[in-house]
Amino acid sequence: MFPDLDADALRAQRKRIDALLAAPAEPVVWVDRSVERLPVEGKASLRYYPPLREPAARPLLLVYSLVNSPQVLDLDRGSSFVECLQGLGHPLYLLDWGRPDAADAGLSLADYVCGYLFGAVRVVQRHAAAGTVDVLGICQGGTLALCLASLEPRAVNRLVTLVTPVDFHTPGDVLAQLAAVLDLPSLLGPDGNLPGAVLAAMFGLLRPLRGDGAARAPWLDEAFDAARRERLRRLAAWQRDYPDQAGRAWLEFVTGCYRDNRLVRGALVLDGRTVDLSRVRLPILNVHAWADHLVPPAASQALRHAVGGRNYRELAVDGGHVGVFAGARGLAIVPPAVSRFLRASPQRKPR
Amino acid sequence: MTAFAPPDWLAVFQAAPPAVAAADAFGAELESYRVLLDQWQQALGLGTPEPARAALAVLARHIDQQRARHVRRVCSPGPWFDPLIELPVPAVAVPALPALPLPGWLAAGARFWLALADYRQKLDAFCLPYQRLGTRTLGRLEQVHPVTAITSAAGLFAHWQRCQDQVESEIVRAPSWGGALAGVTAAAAALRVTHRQCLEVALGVQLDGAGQRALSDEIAAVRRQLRKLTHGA
Repeated sequence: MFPDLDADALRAQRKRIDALLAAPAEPVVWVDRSVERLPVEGKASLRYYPPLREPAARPLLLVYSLVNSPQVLDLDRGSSFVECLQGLGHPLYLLDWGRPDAADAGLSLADYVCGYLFGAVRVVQRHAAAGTVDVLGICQGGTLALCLASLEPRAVNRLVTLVTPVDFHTPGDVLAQLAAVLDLPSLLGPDGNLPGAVLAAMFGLLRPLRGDGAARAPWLDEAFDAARRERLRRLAAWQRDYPDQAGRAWLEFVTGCYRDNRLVRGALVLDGRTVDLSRVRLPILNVHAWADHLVPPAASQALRHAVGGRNYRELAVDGGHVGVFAGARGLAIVPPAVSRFLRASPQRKPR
Repeated sequence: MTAFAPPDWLAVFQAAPPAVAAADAFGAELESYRVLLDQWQQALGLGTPEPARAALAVLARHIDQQRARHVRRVCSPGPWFDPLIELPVPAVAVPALPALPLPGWLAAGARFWLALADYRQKLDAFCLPYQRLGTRTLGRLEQVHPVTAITSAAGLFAHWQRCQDQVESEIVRAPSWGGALAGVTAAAAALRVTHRQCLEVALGVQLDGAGQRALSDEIAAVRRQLRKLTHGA
């Protein structure tokens, strides 16, 4: 099993490691490469990225999770989910939920879905002068997009869900196990919000030994080139940035989904209306990752059964949760598959 | 920050857990890799049979020591508490606070101390499964053969990391892990609350934020009303 290396080969590796460790760690500077910012409601806004080639597809609204910054979708030139889709001719609207502060502690899950998210769809419709909008939701963003698709069937034309939890009680779902035993209200800060630091610590504790998931060995072998190192550095910086979570919405999401599994049971109620996934008729592409430690594949795949398998397609990607939309393999596979799905599916008849 | 805004001071005193610098994030793994390379070279120089295996044994001992401290730091409820994590607090059962007519600062201090002792106990319980991690990783590595032949030092280290991931994954999936994590998380939250109460006594101000929360609820209610009106229109 052990390779037979000579001292020179080891010395050469050691030199490269020393160079990496000695490199000055400059703070990551995030560049907003959108061409326009469109206000939605409260602190929520949309970043508009025009298509980079013709013919342009229908506008696509990207909905990221509330848990981290959506900046991960545009990490850097050459490693950007947004850039890939722009290059495939999609006009993109990235929903930035904003960073909740004390004034937002009372925001509910319904405020996020029926207020911010539905509002974002309408802003896109107006800005793009489009009757219909496609939506791509990632992780919790996918769950919220599914809620909207159920409550407002005419708001969404086609839906792509990436690493999206639907059934929160599948075997091996460590977040659900955690949610079951935590004293949730005790975690809230004095302002009523869940401090991002607490969230960071909880996610960190899921994999304390991997730290920020940083220097994995495959990277050591081939990534002494500056571009890959920079991508990893930006990814690590993004992973450490957890915004505070609006306390009420967070409690509702963890209780309703992770503890009570109401979404898949058809028992989640928002704004007095029941989220019923079996009523969702629009074409869906559901993408999951085989090695996802946060959303087990089965938790995502449950969507097929929940929507009755109609107009439903699935794509499985090798790799982990973040790799699907920020890893080199994910960026090579997922955006083209998403683009094919969005361009090929027949448009639904207007009601 | 304004000098007279208690929430701002609270934010300072109860700042987020220390953000790890990017260099440090890479550094933890790179440091382990460096240990492997150094020990490998040394073993070659000494003519040790199976120099790679000898180097891995040293790496295992290094991880045993270093990662246990790392896990304790990850559990930290904030930078102000970091020194307390290393304090030699006696591992005694936490008694209920006697209902004595203690002055405010003393009662707050006593509650803080008890919360700290409880936190330390819960932290020790949580960290227990992470002991001897390097040794267990080495044991796993010797049992599990890589899918493809290892031809480089980085390849061997990749195999090491995969084995460490497996050990970590088993720890997380143990039935007792969730309860231990819930315990340490709740204890950390209680520690933050008692810490805040100490600050309230010391500063003579109310930092609870109940008024702010009520205002936030009102704003959200107005938002909902507006939505209903718009939706109905």
